[in-house]
Amino acid sequence: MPGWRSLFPVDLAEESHLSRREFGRFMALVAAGFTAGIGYLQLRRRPLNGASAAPGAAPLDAPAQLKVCRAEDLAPANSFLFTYRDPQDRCVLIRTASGEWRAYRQTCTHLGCAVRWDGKGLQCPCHAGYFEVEQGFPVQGPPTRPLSRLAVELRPDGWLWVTGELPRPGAPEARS
Amino acid sequence: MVSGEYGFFIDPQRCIGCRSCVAACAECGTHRGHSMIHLDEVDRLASTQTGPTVCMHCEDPICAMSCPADAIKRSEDGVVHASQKPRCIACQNCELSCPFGVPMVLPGLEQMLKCDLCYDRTSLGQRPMCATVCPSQALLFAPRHEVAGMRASQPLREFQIGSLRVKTRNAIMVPDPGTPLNLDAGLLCDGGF
Repeated sequence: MPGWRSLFPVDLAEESHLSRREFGRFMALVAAGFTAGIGYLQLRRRPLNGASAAPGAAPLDAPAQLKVCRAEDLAPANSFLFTYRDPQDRCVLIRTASGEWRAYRQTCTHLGCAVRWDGKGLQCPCHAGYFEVEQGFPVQGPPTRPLSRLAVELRPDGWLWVTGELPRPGAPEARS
Repeated sequence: MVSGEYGFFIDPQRCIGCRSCVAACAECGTHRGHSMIHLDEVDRLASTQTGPTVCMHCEDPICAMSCPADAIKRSEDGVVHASQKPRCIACQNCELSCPFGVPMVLPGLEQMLKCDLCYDRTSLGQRPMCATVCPSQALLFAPRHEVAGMRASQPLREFQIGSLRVKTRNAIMVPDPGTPLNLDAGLLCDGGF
């Protein structure tokens, strides 16, 4: 009898769709696969979709500090786009109207669209999410978590440097 | 489930060609309106002999073996069922492969139907439709141990078809059941057909 015949038995009784043992084995394999996948991602230590990783967990090939642009090249209420850890890690450097520097990852914390600077805040065009510029908290639309924020440093030579990732702030006092 | 004690016995010597079984078969609930029995006249010029052909329910059903869609199944009691409607592709492989010529792919229905031993009845302990109406008991559904004492002929459930040895659930009553009945069509052709 050919081997494939066991998969297509003539007898109705042998044609069980799935035994309890097979189901358990399948679930165990799926769980093991997920565990291995999560372990691999943990070992790889790369942020997913530009989400913030723990500070200091940058991969070896990505610079922890990055020279972005000269300070005088960025007028107030303007932005400058750059990539930080890798070409897919898209970020935005902002000079606020009051002259302060902010840098955020462009990844919206809702579904990952790229947010953009509109002169007052960061707007996500996909679902009309909106983030305030001071700490990156969501103020409108579906996002519930703040943007991933980067530390900006103005060095004496007039260049702006991104020097790492800031920990995510807790929920603001005003938002309850 | 059909009791294993009960067997189906076909005795062509008793068949009078009344076609009651053909009519009754069409009344069966599992294939209502379509009769699954072939009633053949053996040699109409020379004899009045007729012979009913119903599914023999092979132990290794060749129709199921040849089905590419895995549509023909045998239940625990040895009954080989008609094709499952969601699976059957009406390819007619079963028609061509069955050594007894039983399966029928009905035009319009596009599904293979065959005798399933009136499973809606026999699984409840009732006789198949054909056996209930056969006036000469040429088709008999009875406990196996009773049949041996009822008839001069004895049941035969093993057939030789070419190089193929076929064992069946149903039996044909023959006067001398000592050796497997040779049903090689080639022999019939040599005999003048």
